[in-house]
Amino acid sequence: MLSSLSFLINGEINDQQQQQKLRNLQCLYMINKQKPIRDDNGNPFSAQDLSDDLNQRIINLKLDAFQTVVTDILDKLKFHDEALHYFVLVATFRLPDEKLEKTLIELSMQQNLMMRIDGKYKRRLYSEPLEHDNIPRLAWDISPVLKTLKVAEIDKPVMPSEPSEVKPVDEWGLISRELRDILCCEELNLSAREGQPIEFFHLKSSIFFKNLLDMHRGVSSDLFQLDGDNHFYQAKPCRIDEWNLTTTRTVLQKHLFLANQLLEIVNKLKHHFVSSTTNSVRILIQRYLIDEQQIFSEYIDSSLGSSVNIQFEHIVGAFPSLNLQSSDSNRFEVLDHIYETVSAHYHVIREMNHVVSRMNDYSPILLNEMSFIGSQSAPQFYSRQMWRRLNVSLIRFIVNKLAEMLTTPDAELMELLTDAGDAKQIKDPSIWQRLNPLTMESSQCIDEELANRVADLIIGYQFFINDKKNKSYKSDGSTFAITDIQDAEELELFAKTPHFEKILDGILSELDVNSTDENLDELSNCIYKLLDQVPTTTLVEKYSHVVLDKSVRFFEFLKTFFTSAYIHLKNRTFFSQNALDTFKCEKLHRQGYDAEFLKTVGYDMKSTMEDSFLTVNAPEPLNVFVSAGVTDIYSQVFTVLNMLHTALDAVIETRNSETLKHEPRLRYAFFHMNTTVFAIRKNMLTLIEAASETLKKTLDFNKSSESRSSHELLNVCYRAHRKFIREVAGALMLNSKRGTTARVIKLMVSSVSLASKACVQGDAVGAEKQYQLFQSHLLIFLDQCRLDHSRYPLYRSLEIGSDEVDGRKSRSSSYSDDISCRSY
Amino acid sequence: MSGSGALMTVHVGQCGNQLAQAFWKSMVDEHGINERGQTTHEDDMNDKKDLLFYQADDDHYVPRAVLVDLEPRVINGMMQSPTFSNLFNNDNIFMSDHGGGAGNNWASGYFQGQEVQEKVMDIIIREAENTDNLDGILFTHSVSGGTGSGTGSLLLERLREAFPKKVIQTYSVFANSDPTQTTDVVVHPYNWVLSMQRLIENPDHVVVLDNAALHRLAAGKFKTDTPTFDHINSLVARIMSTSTAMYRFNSSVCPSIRYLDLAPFPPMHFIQSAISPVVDPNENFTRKTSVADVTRFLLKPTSMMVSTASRARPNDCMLSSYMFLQGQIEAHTIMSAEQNVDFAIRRPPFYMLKPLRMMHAPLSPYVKPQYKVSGLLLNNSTSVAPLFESLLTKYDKLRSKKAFLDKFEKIDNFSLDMMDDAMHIVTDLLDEYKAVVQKDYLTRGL
Repeated sequence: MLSSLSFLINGEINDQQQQQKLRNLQCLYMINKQKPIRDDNGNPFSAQDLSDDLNQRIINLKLDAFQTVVTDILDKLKFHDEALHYFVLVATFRLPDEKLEKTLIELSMQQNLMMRIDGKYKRRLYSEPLEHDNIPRLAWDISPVLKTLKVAEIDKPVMPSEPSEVKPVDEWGLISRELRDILCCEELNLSAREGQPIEFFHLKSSIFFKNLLDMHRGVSSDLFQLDGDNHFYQAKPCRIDEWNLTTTRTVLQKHLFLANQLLEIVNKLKHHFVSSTTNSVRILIQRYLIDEQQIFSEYIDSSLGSSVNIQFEHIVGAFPSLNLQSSDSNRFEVLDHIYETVSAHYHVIREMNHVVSRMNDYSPILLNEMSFIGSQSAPQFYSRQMWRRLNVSLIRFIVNKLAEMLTTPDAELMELLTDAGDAKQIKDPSIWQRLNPLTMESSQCIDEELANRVADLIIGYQFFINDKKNKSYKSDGSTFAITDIQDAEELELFAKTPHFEKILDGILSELDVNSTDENLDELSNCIYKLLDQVPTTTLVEKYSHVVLDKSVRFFEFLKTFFTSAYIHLKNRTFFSQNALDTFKCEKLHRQGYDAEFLKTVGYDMKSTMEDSFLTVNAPEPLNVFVSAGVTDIYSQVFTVLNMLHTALDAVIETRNSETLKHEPRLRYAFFHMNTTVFAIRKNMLTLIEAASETLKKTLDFNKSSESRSSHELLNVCYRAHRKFIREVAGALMLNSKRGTTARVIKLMVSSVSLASKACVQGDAVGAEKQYQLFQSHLLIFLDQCRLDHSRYPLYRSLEIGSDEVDGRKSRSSSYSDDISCRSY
Repeated sequence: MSGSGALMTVHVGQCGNQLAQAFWKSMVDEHGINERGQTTHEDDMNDKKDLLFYQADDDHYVPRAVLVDLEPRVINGMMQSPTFSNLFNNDNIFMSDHGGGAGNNWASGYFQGQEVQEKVMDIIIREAENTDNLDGILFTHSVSGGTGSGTGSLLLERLREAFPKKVIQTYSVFANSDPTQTTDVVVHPYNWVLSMQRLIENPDHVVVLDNAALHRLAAGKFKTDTPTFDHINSLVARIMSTSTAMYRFNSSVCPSIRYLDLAPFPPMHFIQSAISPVVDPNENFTRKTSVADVTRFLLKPTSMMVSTASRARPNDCMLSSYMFLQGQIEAHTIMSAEQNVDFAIRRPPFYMLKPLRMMHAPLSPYVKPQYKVSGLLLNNSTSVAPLFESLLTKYDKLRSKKAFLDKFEKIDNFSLDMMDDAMHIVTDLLDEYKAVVQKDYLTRGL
C-alpha cells in the first residue's frame, strides 16, 4: 500500500522517507474516514460529485484537451481502489486551480500523455499512464495539499522522543520533569485509559466557534458529527487553544444537548410543514419560521465574520455581537452568550412547534397576543426579538387582511372572524351581526369594542355588496357624494391602486421590528388608522342610512298591512296562496300598501298553526327585523283581527233580518255581541296604535338632538321594533302564559257567526243558544284578561252583569271588588 | 263583503243642496282637490278619495253626488260659483222642468217627486252601478219644507227599495222649534210628521240637526245675533265631515259606515250630535284643547245640538254612541278617557255593555286644523224624544185646528190619513223611547 500510494503521488518508486510514506497513508486514511469534503449541511460529497466538479474545473480552466487524461487515470483508480480514487479526488479538490493547471500540463507532457502541435495540446495516441500494481501515476501533483498535518500554532513543535531516552527519575531521585510531563499529559492518560492511541482535535478558537455554531444550526463538521439517529456527537476529544480536553468536554456538553434539542425540534417542525395550504396564517407562520432560521444562520455568519449575502441585514445588524473574533473576550463568556442565544432561539422554536402542530387552534388574534406577551416577557433578548418579529408579522397580516375584507367582496372572512352560530351568543350584537353572527376575537391587544366594531363593519360591507348586486335599490347622486367612492366596484378597484398600498404602508410603516418599547395598543392603533382611512366606513354608513330609511318604511308597512289588510279580503274564511296572490295584485296596491314590501308577504302552506299562516320574506338586510317569531306575531295579529272583523260582518248580515224585527231580546243579543267584538278589536287596535306611536317617536331621528351614526340608529331601530312587537303581542294577549287568546276569540267569533247564520235563517232559538255560548266564551276571555293587570281596565267594561238599578256602573260597584278577588 | 266601500251623497231641496255646498267644499279641501277636480297634493296613502269621489276618464275627481231640487235657484247658484262649476257631474243634477219648487208643502214635494222619481233614481242607480262597492248613501235634506221633506221622503222610500242592504244615513234638518223663535214655514209640523214616518221606516240612521240649536250655537260662537246659512251649514258640514272621516282616511277601527252600529233598536235611530270646540273658521283659535275637555263637553246633555237638550230627563239613557276625537292625540289618552267616562254614562237597565265607543278619527293630511283636539259625538239617546214630543205637540195644535190642511188636501193623491198614520207612527216611536228605559224592555209582551 505504501509504495502504491507513493507511486501514485510521486511517480518513481524511490526510497522516500518512511515517515513521508506514513504521512501520505495517514492522509489517505483521514481523507476517506474523517476529513472528506463536506457540503454546507456537513454532508460529505460523493466521489461522483467530486468528479463532476473536477470535470467542470477542467472545462473552466480551458484544459478540455486534458479531460481524457484525467478521466482515464481516475477511472483506473476507481476500478482498482475506491479509497485511493476518493483520496485523489479530495486532494485534487483542495488543490488550487493554478497548481492543478500547471502540474497537469507539466506532468501530462512529461509522461507523454499529451503533445503540443501548433500551440494546441492534443492527446498522444495510444498513450497510457504509467502504472504500478495497476495503480496509475497521477498526471498532476497533489502533494502540496498533503502537508496539512500541522497542529495549532501555539503548540510548540515537539520532536518525537524515543521512549528509551526518557529518564524516570532525576538526579535528586524525584520523578523527572519529562516523566512528570508524560504522566500529567491528559491525552496520554486518556490513551492509557482506553488502551489504545487516541486522536484529538486541537483547534483555534475561530475554527472551534465555527464548528460549534455550525452544529447549532444543524451543520455537521469534523468536530461535531451526526450519528445514525441524527444526533450530534463530539467526533473526537478536543482542545481549544489553551483549554484541555476535560475543560472543553465539560463546556461542550450542554451545547451538544442544546444543539440536539434544537435539531430535533427543527426536524419536528419541518415534519409539520405543509407545502400547499389555503390557510394564510399557517403560511405566515411557516414563512416566519423559515425566516427565523435564516436570521439565526445569518447572525451566526455575521458573528463569524462572513457578511456575504446577508438577507436580513436590517435585523441582524441590530443584534449584539457575539465577540467571537475579539481577542479580549473571555471564551467562557462567549460560549455562555452563544448558549443563551441559541437557547432563546430554541425555546421560541419549540413554542412555535406546538403552535404549528395544532395550527387550527390558533387564531391570528390569539397568536398576536401570544407574541406580544412573548416580546415583553421572554427572559432573553434574542427570544424577545423573535417574538417581536412574529408580533409585527401578525399585525401586518391582520391589518392587510382587514383591508382586504373591507374592500374585496370575495375575501375569506373566516381567517379573522369566527361564526358564533347564533346572534344570541354575541353580547349586544349589532344589526349586521344579527343577520350574520360573525365575531372577531378580542385580546389584550385589541379590545372587545374595537373587535366588534371591525366585525360589524365587515359584515355591513358584505351586506352592502350583496344589496348592490341584487340591485334592490340604486344609489344616485343624492345618496352618495359624487366625489366619493360610489360603489363596491370602485372600492375594489381603489384597493388595487398604489394609493391604497401607500395608505397601508403608511399605517404599517411605524412598526419597528427592532423596537423593544412596550406598546400594547400597536395593533389597535393600526386598525383605528385603517378604519379612518378606508372608504368602507363611509360607504357602509351611507348604506346604513339607506337601510334605515327603508326600515322605517318597512315597519310602517308591516303595521298597516297586518292590522288592516284583512279588511279588503273578499272571503275571510278561506285563505290560500292563490287567494293571497290575487288579493295582493288586485286590491292592496290600490289601497296604498307599499308595493315594494307587499311582495314580501307570503302564505306558509306548511304551517300547522291555524292562527299563523302568513310569512314575511323580506330581502336582506330587512329580514333581520322579521324573524320567525316576529312574523308569527304579525300573522296572529292578522288572524285575530280578521276573526273579529269577520264577526262584525256576520252581525251586519242580520240587520235586516225578519227574525230580529220581532225579537228585541235577540236584537239586544246581537248588539251586545257586536259591541263586545267591536270593543275588543278597537282596544287591540288602539294598543297597537299606541305601540306604533312609541315606535314612530323613537324612529323620528330628525328630532333627536343627539348625533348618532346611521349604523347606531339601525340598532336603535331593531330594539324599538322588538319592543313594538312585544307590545303588540301584549295588546293581543298572545303571551303563552296567559292562555290561548286567539283560540278563545275564535270560539267567540264562531258563536257570533253561528248566531248570525241562525238568525238569517229564521232560527231564533238557535241564535239565542249561540248567544249563550258567546257569553260563556266571553267570560273565559275576561278571565284571561284579568291575568293582564295593565290591560284589564280596558276590558272591564265588557264584564257581564251589573248591580246598579239605573244601569250605571259605579266605581264602588261590587264588580270591581269581585274582579279584584277573582284576579288572585 | 269586504272592506271600505264607497259612499254616495244625495242632496234634496234647498236646504239639502246648501248643505251640499258646505259639505263638498269641505271635502275638496280635505282631500286636496281643486275646483277642477285635480289633486293639489301628493297623494297620502291614507287618503281614500274614492270613498266619495270617482275619477273621470281624464283622471280628474268628481264627487259621487246627486243633487235634486224642484226649483233651480240653489243649484244654479252653486254651479255658477267657481268652486263647483267644474266639479260636479252635470248629469248627476236633477232640477224639475217647471222649476216651481214645492212651496214648503210636503205633499207637493212628495207627489211631484213621484213624477220625477224615475229620472232621479236612474241617476242614483247609474252612479251606484259605476261604483265597485257601494256601502251607503248620505242623504241631506230638511224635514220642514217641501222638496227636502216631501221629495226627500219619496226618495228615501225608493232608495230603501232599490238598496235594501245599503246603509242610508240622513242628515235631516229640523225646523227651528225654539218657541222663542219664529219660522218661515208655518206648516212645518205637518211636513215634519209626514217626513218622520219615512225617516222612521227607511233610513238606518237619522242625524237630527235641529235648526234652533244650530242657530243658537252659531250665534254664540260666531259672535253674531243673526248667523247666516253659511255659519250654520259650516257646522253641519263639520258634523258630516267628522262623522265620515274614519272611512275617508282609512281607519282600521271603523273602516266603513256599515260598521257603525248606532241603532240597536230600530226605529230608535235618531242621532243627536255635538261638536267641540265650535270655532269661527275665519277667526284664530287661541284656546287650549285637550281630550278631557272635549270629552267632558261632548257628554254634557246640553251640548247636544237639539233645542230640547236642556230638557233631558233623569231617566234618559244612551242607547249607542260614537265619539270621534281628532287631532294630536296619543292612543293611551283616549284609552284612559274611555275608562274614566264609563261611569258617567246612563244606559238602559238591561244593558250589560258600554254604549259609548270612543275612537281616534283621522284628520285630513292636507288641512291643518285650527285646534289641537276636537271631537264629534253621535249620540243615539232617548233624550231626543222631547224634541219629537215638542214637534208633535205643535203638530197636534195645528192638526186639532185643522189649520192649513187645505194646502195639503189640494195635492192630488194626498189624504189626511197619511198624516194620521204618520202621527201614529211617531207616537209609537215615542212609546218606544219610553219603554226602552224600562227593565223589562226585552221581555215585554212575552
